[in-house]
Formats: sequence, C-alpha cells, structure tokens
Amino acid sequence: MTERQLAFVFDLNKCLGCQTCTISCKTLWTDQPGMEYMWWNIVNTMPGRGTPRDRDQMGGGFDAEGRAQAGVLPSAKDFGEAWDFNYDEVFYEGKGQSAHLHPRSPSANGKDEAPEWGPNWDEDQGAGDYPNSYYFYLPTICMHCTDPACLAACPRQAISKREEDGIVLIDEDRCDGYRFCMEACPYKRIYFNPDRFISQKCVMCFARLEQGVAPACVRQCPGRVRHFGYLDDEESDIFKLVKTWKVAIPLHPEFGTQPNVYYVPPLAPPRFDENGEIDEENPRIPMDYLRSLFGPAVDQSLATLKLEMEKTRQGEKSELTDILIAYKWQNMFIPFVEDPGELSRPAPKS
Amino acid sequence: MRVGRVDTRDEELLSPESTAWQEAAVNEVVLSPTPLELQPTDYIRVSRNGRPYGAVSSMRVSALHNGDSVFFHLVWQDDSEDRAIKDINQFVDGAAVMFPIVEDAPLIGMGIQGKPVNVWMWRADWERPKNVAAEGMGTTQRRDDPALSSAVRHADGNWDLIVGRSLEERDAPPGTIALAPGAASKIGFAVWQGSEQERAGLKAFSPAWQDLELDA
Amino acid sequence: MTEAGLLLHALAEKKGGGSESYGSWEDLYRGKWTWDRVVKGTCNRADCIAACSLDLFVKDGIVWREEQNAIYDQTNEAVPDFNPRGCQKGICYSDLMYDASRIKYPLRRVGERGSGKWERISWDEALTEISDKVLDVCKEDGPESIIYDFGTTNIDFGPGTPAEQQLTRLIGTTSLDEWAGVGDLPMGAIQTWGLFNADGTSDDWFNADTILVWLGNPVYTRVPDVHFMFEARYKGAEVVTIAPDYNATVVHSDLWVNPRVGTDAALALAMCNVIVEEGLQKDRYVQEQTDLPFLVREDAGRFLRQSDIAKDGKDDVFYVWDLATKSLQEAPGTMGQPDASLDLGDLDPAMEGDFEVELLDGRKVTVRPAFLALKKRLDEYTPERAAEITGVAASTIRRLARRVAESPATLIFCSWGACKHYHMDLVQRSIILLLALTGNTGKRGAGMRIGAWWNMSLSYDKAGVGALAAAGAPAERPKVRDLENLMKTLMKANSSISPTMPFLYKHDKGYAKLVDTPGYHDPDLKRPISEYMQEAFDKDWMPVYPRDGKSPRVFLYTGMNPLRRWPAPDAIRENLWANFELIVTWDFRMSSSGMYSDIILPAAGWHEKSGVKFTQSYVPYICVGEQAVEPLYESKNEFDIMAKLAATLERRAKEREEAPYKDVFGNEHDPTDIARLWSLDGEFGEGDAEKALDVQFELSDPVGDATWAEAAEKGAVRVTSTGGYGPITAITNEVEEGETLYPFAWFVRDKESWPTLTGRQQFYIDHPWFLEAGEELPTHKEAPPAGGDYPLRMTGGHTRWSIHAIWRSNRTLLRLQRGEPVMYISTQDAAARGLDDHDLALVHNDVGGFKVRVKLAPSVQPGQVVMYHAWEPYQFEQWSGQQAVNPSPLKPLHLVGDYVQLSYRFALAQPSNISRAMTVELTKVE
Ligand code: SF4
Ligand code: SF4
Ligand code: SF4
Repeated sequence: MTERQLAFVFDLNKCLGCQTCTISCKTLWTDQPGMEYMWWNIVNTMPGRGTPRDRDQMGGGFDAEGRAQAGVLPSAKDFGEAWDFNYDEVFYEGKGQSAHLHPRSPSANGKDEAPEWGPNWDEDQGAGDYPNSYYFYLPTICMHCTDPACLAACPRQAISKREEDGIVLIDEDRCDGYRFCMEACPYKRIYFNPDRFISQKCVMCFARLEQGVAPACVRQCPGRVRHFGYLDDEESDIFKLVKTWKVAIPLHPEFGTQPNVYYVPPLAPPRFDENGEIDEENPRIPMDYLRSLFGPAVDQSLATLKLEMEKTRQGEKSELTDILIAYKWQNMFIPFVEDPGELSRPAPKS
Repeated sequence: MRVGRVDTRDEELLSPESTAWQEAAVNEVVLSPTPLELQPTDYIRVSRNGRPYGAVSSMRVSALHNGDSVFFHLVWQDDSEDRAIKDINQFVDGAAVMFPIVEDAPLIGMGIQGKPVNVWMWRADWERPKNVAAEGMGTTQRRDDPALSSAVRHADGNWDLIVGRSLEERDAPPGTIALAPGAASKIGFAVWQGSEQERAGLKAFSPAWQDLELDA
Repeated sequence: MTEAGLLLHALAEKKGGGSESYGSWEDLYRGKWTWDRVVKGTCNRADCIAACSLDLFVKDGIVWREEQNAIYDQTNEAVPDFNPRGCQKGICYSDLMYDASRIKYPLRRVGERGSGKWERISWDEALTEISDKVLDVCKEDGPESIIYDFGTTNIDFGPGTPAEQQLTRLIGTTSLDEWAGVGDLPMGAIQTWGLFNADGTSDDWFNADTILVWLGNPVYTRVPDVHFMFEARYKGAEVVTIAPDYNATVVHSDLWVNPRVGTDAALALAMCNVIVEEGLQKDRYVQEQTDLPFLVREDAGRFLRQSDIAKDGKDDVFYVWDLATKSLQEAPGTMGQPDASLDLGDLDPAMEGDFEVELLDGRKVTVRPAFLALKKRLDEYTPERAAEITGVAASTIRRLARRVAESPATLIFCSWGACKHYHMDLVQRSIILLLALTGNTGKRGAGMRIGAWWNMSLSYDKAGVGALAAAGAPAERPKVRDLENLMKTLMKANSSISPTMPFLYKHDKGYAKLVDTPGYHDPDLKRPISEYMQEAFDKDWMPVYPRDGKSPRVFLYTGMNPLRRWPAPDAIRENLWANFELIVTWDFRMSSSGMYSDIILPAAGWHEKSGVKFTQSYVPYICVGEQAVEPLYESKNEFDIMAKLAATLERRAKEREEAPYKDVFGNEHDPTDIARLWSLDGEFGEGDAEKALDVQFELSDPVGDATWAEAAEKGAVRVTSTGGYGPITAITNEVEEGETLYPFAWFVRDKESWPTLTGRQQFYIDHPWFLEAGEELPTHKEAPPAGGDYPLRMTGGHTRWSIHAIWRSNRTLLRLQRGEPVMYISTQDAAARGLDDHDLALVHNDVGGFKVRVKLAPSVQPGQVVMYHAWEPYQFEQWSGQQAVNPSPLKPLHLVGDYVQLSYRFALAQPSNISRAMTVELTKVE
C-alpha cells in the first residue's frame, strides 16, 4: 500500500461507448510515431473479446496465493494494427472507380491485405439471442494496481508505484523493452513502442495532475462517467462509491493485483419471455456473466443500486444516485478542478 | 583463451570472411541456460517454468588483437535470423562478451552489488554494440561506446559475429574492462535467441569464467 | 499517432530533437503537455446540431489538440450542468484538418468526371472560369439555371453561409431547400402543429418522469447531451427505448419495446386506444389544444365550416357543440378568427354525440366531433390487434400507455429518424396524438423533442435587417400564425428556393422514373404518382426552378455531398448531374461528390476561420469558433471566397460588357455592379469575416448585448432570449434565467393559436388527398416495398462515428471501427444466407446494389439490416454506396400546398428523401 492512492470510478450505466476518452488520450499522449496502434484508454463492447482480443484469457496477474501467473505477450494484430489507407490512390491517381478507399494492414508490406481485427472490432455486437440480446460498454485503462503485476515482473525495476499517489509508471529511461510487464499485466494495458523500444502505458496524466488538472479521459468524458480522486478522501465521490456504498467494484478481482479503477456494474432492461412478455424475473445480462467480470461483489452492488433507484422512483432522495447524477460536474474529480484552458504552459526553451 | 597478436588492420579483423581469422585458434565454449531460480522476478520464473530457453549449447570463439584493438569472433548455430522485430511480441537475437571488473565478480547474475562486470553487448537490431556496466541483474547501465565495433553475417544457419574494442582506455565509459597486450583477465559469453522470446536473463551463457590472456 | 502529432514530431526533429532539453523522461511528458496559445473553437461549419465549445491548443502554429471548453453554468441546482459537451469527433478535428483528404489547392478536372485526374490551377483561373460560365447562363437562360446548394453538411450561422447567400441572391440563382432533401423534415409535426422542430434545452430532459426514446438513438447522435436522460433515470425517471434493434440507447434503458420495423404508428395508436378506453385522457387539454372537438360532417368527412352554413361564410371558421349552452359555437382561434387565442372561456365543447345542422342549401346533415372519428379509428388498434402488427405484447402496450398517461411529465425524444420513413408523418401524428391526449405537449420536461434553434440573425446587412426590424417591430410579440403567413407570402412572391425532392423529380428523368414506379407507393393512392406530381406542379404547390422548359446548367455547392445523399446517385449522375455544364464545390475535404465535380476550391478548415456554430437550443449558449491558425495551403474561408468570386464576376462582367438581366420574378440583376452590392457598398471585402460577425452579433437577440469579440474570448455566450420565431426556430417559449427551457409554452400556457388551419394541434386533416388516402386521421400503414419484392428492410440511423460524411474517411476514427463500411445483420438472417462475420455481401434490389462487409449482431431484429449513415461512395467498390438501392419514393400527400400548414415555404411542408426501410436482399460475395 502506498501512502495515498488515486482511483477512478467508471459508471457503466452512463457510458456511451463514444470513445471520446480514447481520443482524448490519443491526441494528448500517443500521437507520436511508434504509437500508432496504442490506445491507452479503450472502450470495449461486452460481451466481446476485448483489446487485445481475448485479453481475459491471456493470463498474468497473481493467483490466490499471490504467485505470479504466466501471461501471453499479445501481437500488434491482437491489439489491432493501425491500418493505412490509400487516400492518394483514390483521390489523385486517375484510377476512377477502380480504386476505393480501404484499410490495409501495415504489416503486409504494401500487399493489399484486409484487416481481420481492430481495437473496437466487435463494437455493438454483443451476445444473446434476439430479442434477448445484450451488451454494454467497458472502458479500461491501466488500473494503477495496488499490487502491480507489471512492476513485479520487470527485471530492471523500471516500473515504480509512486508513494504519494499510487500512480504506476514505467521509467522510459530504464525500460529496456523486455515486455515482461506486458505479459504479466492481466488487464493487458501495456503497449510496446517499436520505434523507441520501450513499453508504454497510461501515465494517469501525471503532468496534468501536477497542475491540478484532472486526467484528459476524465475531464473529456461527455457521458460524465468518470469519477476521480483519492481513495482515502472521505469527502470524495471515489470514497463514497467504493467504500461507503460499495457499488463501485473492481474488474476481475481474481487477477490479484488490486486494481484502482472501480466500476458501477451495468443494469439492463428486462428480458422477454417466450410469449414476448416482459420478464422481470430473470436478468437480461446473465448474472454469471457479470460475476465472471466483476466477481461475486456484483450481486450486492447491483442490489444496492436498484434499491436506491427504486427509492428515487418513489420520490425519495438518495445520496448514491445524487453522486452518480453528478449535478456539478467538477465535483466528480475534486481536487483536480483546474481548467487547462486557463493555464499558460509554454514549451520549455531548448 | 588466448588472444593471439597479429599485424592486421582493424578493418580487416572486423570481417568474418577475413583470412586473418582462418589462422586463429578456435575455442569451443559450452553454454547452458541461466538457471530458472536465478531469474530475477517471480513472474519470469513462473512464466518460463516448463518453457525452455537458452537452447544454444555451444559457441566457437576465436580472439585476436593487433596492439590497438581486440576482437572476438563468435560463431553459433541459429536457424532463425531475427535481426528486427516485425511484431511487438518478437525479440531479436543477441550475444554478449563479458568480463569481471573485480576478480571474483560472479558471472551468473552479471555481477553483484560492489562486484561489477563489463559486458560488450551486441543486438541484431543495433547499429553498433553497447558497453554495459552491471552489478547484478536489472542494474545494467547501457552506454554508447565509440570504441566498440562489430560485424556480423548470418550464413548456413549460423551467426558469425565479430565484436571488437580499441584497447585505448581514454574516454572509456565507467566500468569498462582494461585490456592491454600481455595482460590477463577472464571472459564469459551469452546468447539470446529472439525466436524463443529470450531477453534479459532468459539466455544461454557460459557458466564459468574462462581465463583470458592477450599476447604481448 | 495523429496527423497533428506527426507534424509536431517532424518539426521537433527539424529543430534538432526538441527532447534533448528535457532532463528526464518525466519532463518529456511535461514538455509534451505545453502550448503557445489556447483559442476557443468549435466544430465550426459541421452540420452537427450540438454546438460544443472547444479549447484549441496551438503549438508551433499547429492546432495540436482540442479539449472541451467546459464553461457552461448549471441552470439551477435541481438539474445537472452541461459540462463537458463534446464528442470523439470534435476533439479530433485537428487530425482531420491535416489529413490526406484535405483539399490544398484549387483543382480542375482534366479527365472524365470521377476519373481522379486533376490539375492544380490558380484561384484567379478558377474564379474566372466559374464567372464566365455563370455570366453565360444568366444571359442565355436566366439566373435560375444556376443551382446553389448550401447544405447542410458544410454550413454555418455566419459569416460563411450568409456571405454565400448574399452573393447567390444577387446573382439570382435557384437555391435548393435541403431540409427535406436530407430527410430531416418532420412532416407529421408540420401537419399537426404547422411548424416543425421543437425542443428546448437538453437539461429540461432531466425534468421528465418518463422518457420514451422513439425512432432515435441519442447515445450515438446526441453524445454531448444524452447524459441528462440517464441522469434523469437515477433521479427516478423511467427511460424506455422503442426500437426494433437493441441499439446503444437501449443499453441504458429501463424498458425496451421492440416493434417490427415501420410499425411504430400502430404501437402509438394502440397506446392511445388504451388511454381513451380507460378514460385516462386529459379532457380540458384535449378540448382546448386539439381539433378533436371540432364537428365533422358525416356526409363529406370534412369539417363543418362557416361557409357550409352561412352566406359569405369563411372556410377557416369551424364549430364545436357547446355542452354548456347546448348549441353550435364557433371554435375560437382558428385561422379565420381574428383573435389568435385558444381560450375557450365558458365553452364546454362536446367530445361525443351526433348533432344536426342545416346547410346553406337547406340540407340537413349530421355532424359529430372529430374525437368520435378518432375513437373509431382507435378501435382498429386494440393492444391485441397492435400486438399482431408490431410484435409487441399487448400487456407491454397497456403498461406503457398507463405509464405515459399517469406520469407527471412524459418526454418523447424523437430525433429526425422518423422523418426518413415513407409514412413518417403517420408515425409522428400518432406520437403527437399520444402526447396530446395525455396533455404532455407544451410542458416542462415533456412533449416530443426534435430539436430547435436560437434565432440568430443570418445576415450582416444592418441596413436590410435593421430596417425590417424597425419597420415591423410591434409593441407585442407577433403571433406565430401571422409570422408564418407572412413568411409564406414573401417567399412565394420573391424566392427561387426550390424543394429538393420535387426539383430532382422535375429535372432528373432517372429519379422521376424511379418515383413513378407504381409498386413503390401506398396502394391507397389510386392514381399514378405522376398525376399527383403534375397536379402539384400545375397548382404551383411545389415551386421548382428553373421553369418554362429551362434546365439546370451550373451547380454550385458548398461542400455538402449530394452524390452521397441523393437517392439512386447512379441514376442522377447520368441525368441531372451529366447535364450540368459546370459543377463547382468549395470544401476542405475530398468528398465523393467533389470527385465528380469540375472545379474544387479549397475552403479553410474550421480552426482556420471564425464563425458561429449551428445555434441549436440544446445548450443555452451561442458557441463560436475563433480562427486559431492561418488557412492551410491555399485555402480561404467562405466569406473570402465569396468576396473574391463577387469581384471576379464584376470584373468579367465589365470586361465582357454584360447588360443587366432579369430573374423570373422580374427583378433586374446588374452583374457589373455585383461586387459593390455584395460588399454592401464597400463595407465588406476579403478579410472582413470578423467584421461581419460583429454586425451579426449586433443584430441578434439571443446574445443580448454580447459582442463577437466577447464571444470569441470565452467561446460561448449564454443566450438571454430565444430571438423569437423565425423560419427554423420553433422554441415558442421565453428564456427565463434559472429555468430550463421547454417548447410550446406560447400555445399551451398562453393559449395562442397554433399556425394551423384549425389553430390547434390538428389530428384531423380534411384535405381531399388525405381523405382519399384514408389518412385524415393518424393510422398505421406498412411501408410500401420500395425497391421491389425482397425480404429484408434496410434501416439506418446516424452514426456514432461521423457527422454526415465529414469524419467517415478519417484514419484515426476508422481505426476504431472496421476501417470500411459495414452493415449490421441479425445472426439468423446471416446464417440463412451463409454469411459469416465480416464477409462481403452484395446488397441489392430492383434499383441497384452495393457491396459491403456484414457485421453479425444478435442485437439486430431478424428481417432488418442496418446501414449507418453517410459512408462516402468512394469507400465502396466501384463507388457504389448505400444509396444505390434507394429509390426514395416521395410521398404524394407531402405535395399538398393549399392547406394552411401544408403550404410550402423554405424548410416547411414538402416531400422528403425517404431512405429507410428499403426492401433489399443480401447475397454473399465469394
Ligand atoms: S467513458 Fe465517457 S468518453 Fe469514454 S466511451 Fe464512455 S461515455 Fe464516452
Ligand atoms: S493494470 Fe497492468 S499495467 Fe496497470 S498497474 Fe496493473 S498490472 Fe500494471
Ligand atoms: S489517465 Fe491520461 S494517460 Fe491514462 S488513459 Fe486517461 S488520458 Fe490516457
């Protein structure tokens, strides 16, 4: 345990799958060569294979005894390559309708190979049988774990967890590109930069935090999904959602790393029975599926949420739903409420 | 291992095809995997348990110097030539020549706190080898060293590598072994197989230091 | 990697590794998050109806990234605030502006249209060529043969679009009215209310107790605002999504109702049935606000009019049976009544009963309230019957109906989705009926919401607008119905604006042939479609220019994308398009239509010019964008392009010694004076875009006293007034500080007449064509099999990933999709056709076909395939895009032009581009 820990709560009942968070991180940190395929923040449709594909089957993390677990090192195709497009051929090369704009796999050496996977390939597909179909959106970033498997796996001690806020960082000067961290991270949130031969991942926007500004993906989320703050700050949304109300729970607690991104698990409309009538008895999203993602705590979390929502339906007040509504957006990420547009940050002189 | 003295220019010694090497004595160096229990992190130990590495079992080594520079010629079998990674889950081949800086610096684990070793490390995707100072696994300090040079070819399923360094001590990075005509030291070797995802401590190495003598 | 990131990287490399100055890797991150300036921007000219203010971080002369400018104040403590409005598209415009689709220089086609063979020419050369052609055509055929199409994709609320309109007005061109051309015209709302869109601020959605999302998918389309719905849910509201597929909005709903594609009217009418059967309707509201108490003649099926029973009686005075006095009484507030008030006073109009009246000729006829006719109609829609039609269980229909009736405030989020269906008017009328019976229209947190605009001035001509305002400024707010009448009269007399779909019908043989296909239409219409069309043209219901046998010859368009949007583009390309002698566009990115054009002028990107964003009422702010960097390459902003074009026209006219010419209305146009006139006597020229904005702000009520400069400084200014009722403004309520805004208070709270024949929300339309079609009252009709006899219905919807085609070709966003167009298909239908995920399929019908990858989804209703909006045709093989199967069979009833709310003006009553529920089949491409 570090002295303090910054944490996130993502409310899946407000997430739009819009990937604004994804783009906000891309344009801020991963806009450089070698980072084309990186999405430190990604939102997946679930049930789905995740990013990288089948990540939940890729191992890593710790077992119940705290023993490290072997993991798979994903390929770029697993993450989803950054496809190229034939703009000039279509627009300017005089080929008329014989050339159409389409993606090409960058690893196919100029061959016209159609991609077969991408970071958001299974968007909005989901599972179930119509009309009992279901899906929801699951954003993931580095979980800044209390017991980071990445840190433990690195033979160069290039990964550290900061005492003052629990941010897990890869020292890019020390990193040798061994990628044990990528294998060991059970959430598969570390990417490899082949141009710089180092591993990279979410840095929790530490440079912004230093200026009192919330992370980009938090501040730029139009769904108002992301609460952020210190886990020990009893006034924070984070503390109340995680500790007091216990509706925000970790993803795959069995991975053993004690992640610091917590989720308000998804509700769904009732399913239909064989006659097409509303069936309130059985949940649309099978509970077993949710337990496979969030562990057994999901039952209590959903029960609490439903109870509080029932209260507000009856016209009563609920502290829990008031927090989730987030009447005042800035309260979602106290104390990081500075407005970046108001800051002056000239580039340091070379 | 004796390092014969020849009167051949650096450029020529830096060529694996050079006739100078045909005369040089060949030493057969036995390699074995770095023991699993010595791997630095639990993760590596667990993940490579039952997944062999360090399969290159031997290496042919010759050594020559010309008074100005010393060269080691390493030949080992490797059917896959991994010069560059085409995907992020790939690794490149590599090899290293290692020297103890203090007499009893352990070879296994690349030295230990207070007992450093010096490594001249070659990696198939690097333009030139790097000079590495280490006091145990995970402590390596890797530096560019203009005095280091290498030449390599991959032929008939073998890597054929020459690593050399000028004997000049001026401007040498800290922790560089001091070698001179007539001097003696010790030497060790290591090989990384990219195709087996070998990197860091996942390698084949020569388990014990060998004596090294430079002809006067 | 982003385009801006690469540029900055290259710059740093050139400077010699900017990173070396940093001490540690951490400093590298700190150093990366730096900038030279922050400028307030927005998705300036995107036809996105969410106006989001953005901070643009400018570094080394490059717009590096956007971040939402989260400055919106909470309206009051009881509703969440608006922050941080924006979406993934807006925050990567900086990527789009630098990407490979960017138009850099004026281009002239050198091969066939669509060949992709271009030569770079100078601005001067391009504008001279355009001017010469324009002058030729004005002289030979009159200016109406020049067609100007302003949108909607690339449009602003100043100064670009006003500058364009100023010039095209001076030339005298025909302007296309694309409102219905893009399929966004809610005809059912127009038929019922006499006006179209309706909304207030999006935080008012939070006040709803029940929210029905019906024919919309706000999780895709309203990214910045939809949170209010899900927050309302936490507050205790029930969110119900009605959609055939388990779409992204259903994900966060309390209830999903999944009718078969195109059966929504039956569902709504069945809910009405339950409400009426169970006596749940709000009687007084219905008596006052609707035409349902109006007496209808049993013999003719038409309203009893004053002209039926009194000599010199009016056609627009109607009757109710007053229960208080047991007598026939004129209904107040109808079009024929001098007082536009719905106030019933002591009247107690009967809702039921048979009454006898004597006609002028002495005949006695039975009259009865329209409500009785409605009840009879609703009898056809018992929940059980509707269950058969819709597939929705009768129990669900009852539950939902009761919820709507009992809920203090029911809000129906409708979007423009319905507008793209053949019988969309029936759907909308049915939904509005549901809301009227339950008293939900014109209430806080309630009613049907389709969007509305703040009435910003669309002109910077102070003399023109100022004079009009001064002359007409009444002490009291003018009545909506009077304004509507005035607008219709003025436009008819002096405007060559032409509704797009009738324009296409008239000027494109290929499209006309498709429309005339008998099988694609409502079988209740017994005459051939061409006869309805002819009648509409003969009676001038649909003013289409050029006329008198003249043809369109020049096409000027502003970067919207007609060959992406218009139906059956392959047919149109061979007819109307081929007949254009010159096709010119100004755009910042290469569109499919651009590829088929003759001259492309490079327009500045959004962050390269100043302007006002679409002033939609969702957010109570006027959002603006200030120029952050110089226009890239040789591009220019639209204001400057128009200034240059006006100057070139004048120069060429003088050089050619052109005489003045006349337009069809007899107005004279002098091309040798056009630059002076455009410039408002030298007031405005190149480089004066911001000066024009100054004036526009001065002339605009919604911004109060705020100036352009103040707006540009903050990025947005809070509105202080709706700006009143204008041609596309339908808020009809006042802005009150500290209150959310909902529409229609003027009609419901203040009891002002609606701009309809009956002065009410009119559910009974007694026009002969409506009676002929059996649509005098809302009813359900199956969509005709437009496309032919094929088993699947192709639906669609706006996409999460683009606003129209603007971002469709963007590399960064494509990487988060499948990189190319996809069609969603149910797992069952895919299996039946041997289709696996990502297989290539040929989608085809009698109209045409296109190839597309399929995406198998259990969320899609069997029988339905979903093709989301606006892929560029050039993203499909042979550039045959999703419109290739669309015959867009315009609905003849929408041609009616002699019935108050159904008479045409810009953006009102006209046929629409019908692009949903085409019949298609899919075949696997091996
Ligand atoms: S977390 Fe926020 S920004 Fe990201 S997808 Fe969900 S709603 Fe969009
Ligand atoms: S999520 Fe992965 S990368 Fe992040 S701290 Fe945990 S183990 Fe490390
Ligand atoms: S916290 Fe910052 S670095 Fe991490 S995912 Fe969010 S935006 Fe990216």
